[in-house]
Amino acid sequence: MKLSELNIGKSARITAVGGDGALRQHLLDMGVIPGADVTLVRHAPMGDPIEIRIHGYELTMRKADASQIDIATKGLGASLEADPSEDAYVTQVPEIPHPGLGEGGRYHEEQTAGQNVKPQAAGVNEIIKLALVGNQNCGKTTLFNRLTGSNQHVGNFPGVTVERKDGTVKGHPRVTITDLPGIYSLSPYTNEEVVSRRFVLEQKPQAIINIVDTTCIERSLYLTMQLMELGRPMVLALNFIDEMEAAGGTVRVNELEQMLGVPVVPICAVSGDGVDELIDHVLHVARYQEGPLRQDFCPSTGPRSAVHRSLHAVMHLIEDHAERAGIPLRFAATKLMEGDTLTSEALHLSQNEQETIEHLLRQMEEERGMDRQATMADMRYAFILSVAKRTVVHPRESREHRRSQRIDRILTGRWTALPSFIGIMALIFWFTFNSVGAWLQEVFEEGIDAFTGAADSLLTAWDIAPAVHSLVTDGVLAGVGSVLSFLPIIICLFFFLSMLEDSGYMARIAFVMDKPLRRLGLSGRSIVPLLMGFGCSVPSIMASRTLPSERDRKMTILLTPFMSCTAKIPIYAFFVAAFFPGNGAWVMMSMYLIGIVVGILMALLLKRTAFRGEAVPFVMELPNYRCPIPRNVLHLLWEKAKDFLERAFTVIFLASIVIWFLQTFNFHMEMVGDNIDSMLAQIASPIALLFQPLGLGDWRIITALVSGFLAKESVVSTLGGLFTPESLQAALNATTCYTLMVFCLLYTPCVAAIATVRRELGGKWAMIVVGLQCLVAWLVAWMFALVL
Amino acid sequence: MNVQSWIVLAVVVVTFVAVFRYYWKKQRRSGGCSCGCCDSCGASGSCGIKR
Repeated sequence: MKLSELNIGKSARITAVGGDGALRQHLLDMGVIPGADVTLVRHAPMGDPIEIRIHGYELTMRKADASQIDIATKGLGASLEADPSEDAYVTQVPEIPHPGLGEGGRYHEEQTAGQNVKPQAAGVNEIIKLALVGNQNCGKTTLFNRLTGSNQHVGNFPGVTVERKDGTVKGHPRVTITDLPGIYSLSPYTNEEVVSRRFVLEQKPQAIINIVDTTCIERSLYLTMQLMELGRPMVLALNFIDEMEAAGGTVRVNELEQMLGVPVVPICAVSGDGVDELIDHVLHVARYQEGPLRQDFCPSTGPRSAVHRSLHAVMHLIEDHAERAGIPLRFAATKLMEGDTLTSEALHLSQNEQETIEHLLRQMEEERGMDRQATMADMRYAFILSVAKRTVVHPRESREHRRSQRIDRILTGRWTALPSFIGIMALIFWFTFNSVGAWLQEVFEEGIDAFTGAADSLLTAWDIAPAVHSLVTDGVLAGVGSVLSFLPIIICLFFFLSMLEDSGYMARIAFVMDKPLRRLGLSGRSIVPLLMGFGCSVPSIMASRTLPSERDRKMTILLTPFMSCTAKIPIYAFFVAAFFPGNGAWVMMSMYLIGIVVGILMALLLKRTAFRGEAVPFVMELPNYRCPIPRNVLHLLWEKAKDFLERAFTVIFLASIVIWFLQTFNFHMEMVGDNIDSMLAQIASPIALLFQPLGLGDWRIITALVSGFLAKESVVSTLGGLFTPESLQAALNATTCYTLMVFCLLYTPCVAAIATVRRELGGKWAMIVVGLQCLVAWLVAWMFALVL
Repeated sequence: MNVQSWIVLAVVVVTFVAVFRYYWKKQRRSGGCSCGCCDSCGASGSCGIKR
């Protein structure tokens, strides 16, 4: 029987994991291994993908991938539980006193007093580099913020952090810490996993903080074991222990520390409990370079002894190669056995050695009855389960999990998921553009108008020269002021987007939308960058890094700019006020809809031309719903407001003055009476010919569009400076205005987004994005001009 | 132009130059990230993703 055939609510035991390549390795790393018990929780509304429960957490995968996994009714297949004969291998630990690993006093001082063999501690002035490593969505960035006092963005979605971030530990100016993207294993599956692995292997931090989600400790310890194989000093931080204890579970910390041979510190990253103790321990192991006391997890007796014999044989064989390559021996051997090409290339093994290893692995596979990757995963999980059996008191179902299941019955239910999604998005847009946001904007606008009026009166009272007066009122105040008034709307939209992400709903949207997106050649994960594109293209383009395939990444990045970002809101609002009063919300909504429709059409076109093939598998963890932390939300809003204000007072301010100068003077530096004689008119007029088929042949419109390349808000400030309300009505009508809005929606992203594309995909792709967007914008606007 | 006009013009020009210098320097030290939201360590704080 296949996993895809399992009925909802039924449990089974995995007997074999088929498939091949990186996906199979990723599934094994996530704990989908022979012997593991699995329960089918639900299907996505359109029947695919499916949500399963394994090792105490929820995982989603497509039916096609699930059909590669063989299952048997629970009780028939062999259990993953360690063989009882191997029990002796995992030390029986009764109630013990705290082992005191990673602490001073017990070892160093006593030894100093007794035998004068004090280990050499790192100099007090030496800079200590720490790495923060853990699974996705286990609280790394929250801990990083707590340790460094910084305010990095955190969210309740796997893969919020896509780049490493450095900071200095509070109170320890010579200790730096690097927050790495979340990973499930040191087998590189996505770009972010490569970043983390490379950092740990190449940068050689003095110590590692391995943060684990205690509520699914079994899966988290899989990465821990691989980190321990690196031999670097490390400390295990048990996060969410409060959530686990509230549900009646706990972890016997002393026993876990004794068994793993690394310091274990329970923490709560949100409240900061245990964080001081954690930093004391990690500084200690870093200064004294105290590595894990245990690196060997393969039992020498019982059915899994085949792994022990093969692994140690491989270790002996490659010892010199690993030393030359600077890769920890145990780690190199296990990765080699898993078929990790990066490691095998780095080791430069001879043909003879490769063949010897192949023979050893075949012998191991024959004895274990499963292939090498599954055997290695089985060995690790068997050890983890043995440790967990002795140290973890599993809780009853936690309140958070119960709540998540209840909410998911509606938000991912078969008949309710899509209406819920559409309803939530409609509510967000309604609140932003027609209710709270619009009201706040009016208030803000009145304030700005009052300020502009006061400044105007003051300048008149001072008898300021007309040119300078015009510079201040028509240039600076009109330009910056016209953009500033949209701050409340932008903050509103970001508030709702951050609520979606922090609550955990974003992950559900990916789950629900996977099947429709696959028809467009994308994966469900692409929905996250695309939705974030409604906020700002820059972070959304960067968020595409969580996509494990280059094809999906490129396609998502090409489509993201079609989603109307918040910087375009001022443009729509400007035209709506002038040409569509009373129908503002509908016109705004239509812009978003046109963006989405054109994005879908582009996706279909790209799927059939430049990006043939299928989207990557959809394997993602579904986090529990959590109440967004007000501090995080407020911080995000503050950052967005700050960014917007900075743009208004830098780019828009500079552009406003330049545009004012060009439209006020001619090439002889004489002030012009009519700006048709200005420098700007002379420069923009030839380009305007291109836009005549769209009915937009006015040079002032072209000038505004060109300035929009710097920042979209600049279109409004330029139009505000070049047109009076009367001249705008004369130059455009409702039809041409709508065509112009469509062009603004679709044409080239701003320079910031282009620079991000360049950084992510290179200069060639950045040029493609600019060219493609302009072409599509012109064609779609032209069609609207013909039809309307 | 009267004295007040010159003062207002000077204020605008000085502000323009200062903003331009600030923006230019920020672009340079951000190591290619030109989203205009980078701090001195080359990190784009506002978009939530640091280098």
